[in-house]
Amino acid sequence: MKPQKAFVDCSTGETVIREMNDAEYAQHLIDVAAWEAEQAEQTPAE
Amino acid sequence: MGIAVFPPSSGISLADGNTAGWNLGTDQWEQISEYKTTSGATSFDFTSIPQTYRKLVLVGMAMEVQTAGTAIFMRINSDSTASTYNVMQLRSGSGSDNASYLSQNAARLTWGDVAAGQACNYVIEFPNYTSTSSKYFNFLFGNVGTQYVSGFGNYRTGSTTNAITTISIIGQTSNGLFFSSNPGPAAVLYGVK
Repeated sequence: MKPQKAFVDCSTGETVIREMNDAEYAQHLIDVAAWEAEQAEQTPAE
Repeated sequence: MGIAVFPPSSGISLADGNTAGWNLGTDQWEQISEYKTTSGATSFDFTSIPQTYRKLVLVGMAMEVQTAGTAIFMRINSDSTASTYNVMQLRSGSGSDNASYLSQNAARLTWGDVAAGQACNYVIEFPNYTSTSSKYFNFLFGNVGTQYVSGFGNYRTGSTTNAITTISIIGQTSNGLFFSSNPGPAAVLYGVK
């Protein structure tokens, strides 16, 4: 199951929480990979 | 002969057609919308933001995470293009340091992780969100683990840009984030007239 993303429409006040679609999930994976790579660099090797 | 003195901008109509009274300032805050949920989402967007204000202020009232290890990023108008956002962070707390995150595909608003079970309060100001030039933002994040972060940044510096109609606040892992089990909302977007 893909992570959930929330959308608050300021014109209607409606909030929708749903599973990420494919494009959103693809961007999410790019973001997570970049973050995890940075964390790995900061973690001292044992 | 009596003399009546009216302070400026009091709203009293004068015989000469002018209006007297005090000018108490022009800032008027209006709540545009709020994000309130008891279930965790990895990120949230405010969309269809009206263009009728001078500036925007996003206030995160309370936020808890389900597991540790999540930094917080922001995107404008869902733009994830490389080399688009620049951020300067001023940090305090354990292991504090200052840092810059330049030419990124998202605005990095925190350093380190929002820890499990902790509330992270934050404020983000957008002083020129309707401008067609590069956008600016200022931010404060409290209690991100053991750090506090303030800073400022810009989006597409030196370029022509669209007005901000969508603001995305993004957790950098797949962990549940951005929900409030407290009575208040997870985030409120204000417009300032």
